[in-house]
Amino acid sequence: MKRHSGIHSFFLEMILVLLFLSVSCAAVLQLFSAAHATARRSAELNAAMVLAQSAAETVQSAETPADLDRLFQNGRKKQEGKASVYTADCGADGSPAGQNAAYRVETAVRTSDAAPGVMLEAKITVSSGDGSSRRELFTLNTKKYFPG
Amino acid sequence: MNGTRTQSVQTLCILLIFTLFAAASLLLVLIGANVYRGVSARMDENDSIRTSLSYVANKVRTGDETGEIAVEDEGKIRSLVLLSRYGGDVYKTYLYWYRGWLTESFLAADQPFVPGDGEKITRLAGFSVKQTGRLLTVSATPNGGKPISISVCPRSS
Repeated sequence: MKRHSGIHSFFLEMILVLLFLSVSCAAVLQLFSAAHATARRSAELNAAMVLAQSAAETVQSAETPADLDRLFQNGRKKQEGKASVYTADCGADGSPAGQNAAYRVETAVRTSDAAPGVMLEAKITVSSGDGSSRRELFTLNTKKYFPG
Repeated sequence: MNGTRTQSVQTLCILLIFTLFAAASLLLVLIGANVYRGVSARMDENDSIRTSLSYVANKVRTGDETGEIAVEDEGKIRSLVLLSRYGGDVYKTYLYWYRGWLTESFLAADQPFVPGDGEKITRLAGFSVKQTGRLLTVSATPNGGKPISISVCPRSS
């Protein structure tokens, strides 16, 4: 009878230990998954910053406002109010990509008279994902003055 | 006879729980190690890309004077060359990829370029520079990763 009770208490202890382990496992696995997601977001943000910076430098390289059509010829152009929006779907390396593009770079360009020249303002937005799951990753504003 | 059988079943149950405990612990350690390896690799990849691209972009911006930035081929090595003047003497800074490293050489303009003498900046699987119009496009490939490019427009160009 004594031996039986010893086994029972050990059995109970093991079950409690296992319960504690499973709770710890759940917490630790959540931490691992959060670390993984953070690392992935960091890599995405890094790539988005590089893409936005490249788009800003492309805007800066324009010699006239009309030159932007040539510089952003790899993307699509649409008119949204007074702004021209150049959209490019691309991979992380900035090369044009098709339907499975990792990132989308939208450069909204607006020009205004700033006598004697023209002021060009661009808002660059980099996003990832598709359709409703599209997430904005990074936004950058830049300006360039073209003397008249 | 019945008592011995019950005891055996209980011992078996304890052993089973022990095994489960050991397997769960091992699995947790393995998953943890795998996640840590992945996070660490991604961080290294990010660091080498950020370091190399930011370094080159900032070098271009600091050396941004008319005609002082060029892409040159020295033998089989394509390098980004930045000219600078100190006390009337002309110096060249070469940025290039050599034997797995982004490398920098700072030499007087009349000194011969020796790729192996450069200073190692960061480890990369590949690095290239090209000029398209006014834009300089720098591409860096981290070890085990995909290439990432950045464009820089020298304001003096």
